[in-house]
Amino acid sequence: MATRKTRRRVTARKARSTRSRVARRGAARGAVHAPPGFLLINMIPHSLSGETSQDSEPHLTVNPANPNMIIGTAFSPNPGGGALGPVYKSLNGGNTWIVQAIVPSVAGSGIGTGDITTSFNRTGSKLYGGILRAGTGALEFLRTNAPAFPPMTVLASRPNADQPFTHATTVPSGPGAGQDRVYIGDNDFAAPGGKTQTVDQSLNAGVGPPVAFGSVRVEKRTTVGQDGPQCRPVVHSDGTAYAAFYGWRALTGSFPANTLVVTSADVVVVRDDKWGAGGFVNLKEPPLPAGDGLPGKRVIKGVSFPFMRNGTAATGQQRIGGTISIAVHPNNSSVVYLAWGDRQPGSFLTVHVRRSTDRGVTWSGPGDLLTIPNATNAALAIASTGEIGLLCQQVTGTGAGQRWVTHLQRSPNGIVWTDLVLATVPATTPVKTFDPYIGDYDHLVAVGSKFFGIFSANNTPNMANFPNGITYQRNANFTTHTLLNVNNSSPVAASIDPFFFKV
Amino acid sequence: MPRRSGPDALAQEARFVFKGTVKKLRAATMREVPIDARTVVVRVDEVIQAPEAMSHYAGQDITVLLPAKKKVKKGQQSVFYTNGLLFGDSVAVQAVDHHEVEKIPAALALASGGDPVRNLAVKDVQARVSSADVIVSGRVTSVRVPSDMVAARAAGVADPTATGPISEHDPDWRVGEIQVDQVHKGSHKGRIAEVRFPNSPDVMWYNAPKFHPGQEGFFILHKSTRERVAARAAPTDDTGEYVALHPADFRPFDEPGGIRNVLGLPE
Repeated sequence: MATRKTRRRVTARKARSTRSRVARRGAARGAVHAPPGFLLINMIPHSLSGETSQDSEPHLTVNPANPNMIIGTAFSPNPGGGALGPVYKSLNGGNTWIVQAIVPSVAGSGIGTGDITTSFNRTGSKLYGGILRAGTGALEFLRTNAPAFPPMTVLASRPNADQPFTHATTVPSGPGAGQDRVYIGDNDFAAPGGKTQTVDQSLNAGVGPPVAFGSVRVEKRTTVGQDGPQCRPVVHSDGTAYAAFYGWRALTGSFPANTLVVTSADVVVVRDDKWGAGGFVNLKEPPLPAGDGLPGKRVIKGVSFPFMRNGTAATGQQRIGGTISIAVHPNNSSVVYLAWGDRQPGSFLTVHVRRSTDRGVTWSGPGDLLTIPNATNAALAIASTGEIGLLCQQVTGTGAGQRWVTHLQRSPNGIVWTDLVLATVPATTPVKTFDPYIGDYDHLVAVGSKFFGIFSANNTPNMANFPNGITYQRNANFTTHTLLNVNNSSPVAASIDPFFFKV
Repeated sequence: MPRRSGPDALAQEARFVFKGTVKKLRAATMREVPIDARTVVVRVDEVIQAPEAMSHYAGQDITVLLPAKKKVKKGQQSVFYTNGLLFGDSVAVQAVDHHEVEKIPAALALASGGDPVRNLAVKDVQARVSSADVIVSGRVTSVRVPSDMVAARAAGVADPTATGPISEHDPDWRVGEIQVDQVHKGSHKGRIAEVRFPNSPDVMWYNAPKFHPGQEGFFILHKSTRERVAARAAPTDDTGEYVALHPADFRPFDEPGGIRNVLGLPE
């Protein structure tokens, strides 16, 4: 045990010395070194040092009332193989992590769960979640109590939907004060007319069961038969609720043949000014000819991007299918930032960032506030200071030199951005076990003035892969770049792990 | 639901089975575990059945949460039937039950001393065999796209959504034709069995069997009408009579032990 702890502390010291060198090199390129208090940690606990799962598609929630309490999720199987899937839990601000099995699943599942996202309510007394359940694929809405975190209760379940994305809060004052409001964006294939973009919401989710969830169909325009999978809700404490999604208008190619391209999609933002109770129709386009008069602002029209069945070498093994994120200023619900991805010349997916200061009516442009080529998994957040954060993952290089570079871009004003490189890891190893390689999303949240984030990446213990430092809980030898089993001697193959950071 | 209490049944219900010696009562190896009368520290003497991630715990002290009304004494050696609960610097497991070592069932006694990961895999095969409608041995002669999907895909040249919703979790069904040499369980008429399986490498489907022509072995089959996946299973007219979804649903002929032992067949 003493040997292991020593090893981990040595790693931290090496991280600090490496950080200084990289900072000097990076400054000329616009990259910055990590500020004091920066933490980046591999979330796999010591007792799971032998694990080799592809722990991709991570998500994160931080208790707003106690930022020391954090829950992370990923495609991680229950290491003990029981009938519950795991979450990653920290009670000390992310400095250490344990794995706890609380997610409804099936015994022996190779994945603990399908898609999963979670969110604390405002008081941190409850944790909500949306999943595609392992074994059935059913869309399920979940709840449990904090800080005990007993197995999560299924509040609702239905088939035939995709990519639940959970945002929860609590009404701070006024009508409904104390009620938990839960918004789960999803792509509901059962929606009528092929208008599949949906926000499933409960405006009083903390009581019951039964808990009433209503499906708000936020797509109001004609689709190609469906929309894209991403629906990202976010809610301000004054009751202003936004959601962003891709409205699919035209396709070509074949999904089974991995040639499908969304040739025309609108990047749409919807808004509701009463916690979603009004059906997300408060943001309308002007009548013809300036707009079409329908609810939902088409911030960008007619973007194109591949929608891949499988990741390929050109995309760093990651399937590409768009990326979208929206964040509202915690001190001003009129200020909202939007990130989306589309295909550009020489870039399989380019991440764009723009801003609205009038509740989504008009948007910055025609140029971007920030543009990042060959990137995906955009995740926006805004701190109480007004600082904007964008987490994304970018492919650089080719062949054996290809890498996944994870960036945290930050800006005080949306104009000047500084790039903090969190990880730069080989994109060709390990070979993927399944799609998606690193996940169809990652996540960034802001609590107070701090950003908290999670991403998945190659876990090879090499300081060069983490230019601003790293801490491992699992056994690792950073000299030989080798992971070690719980006995601290048997080598363990590299795999995809979840990483937590805060800054 | 009444709890199964027989050792063999417990070994099915529990994933992590080990011989252990109780070292401390009302204690835990992890500060995250609330300590009460049901919380004990147990040294793992021998791992009998385990997932890969828990197969190297012999010699380590772990926390065991006993089921209600179950007690142990300090120094007592038992076989613990457990599932993983918490993983941090140490491990906490939830016991389904525990038995005296002397009462270890024959099957587990045989497993004791073997590879715990393999022992768990055998348990999984036993469970699939138990629930199977039909078990056959034979050879995959062909794999095809279901006929209704062929038509839809032809239409999909002009309309990519003609095959139904486009989702990254699309199972991408295939139907494998198996030339049946022998039926080991259940009743199957004819020499050909048609088995639907997901060809997708997506996270929801990647660990299901992927059949290819020439593949030989044992096929542990469940009626597709009984084991239809609820979401996006795209039930069609050409479903195949059976479906294979679990990684244990195919076992190769050259796998030593395993299903041959389960079925009572010679090596």
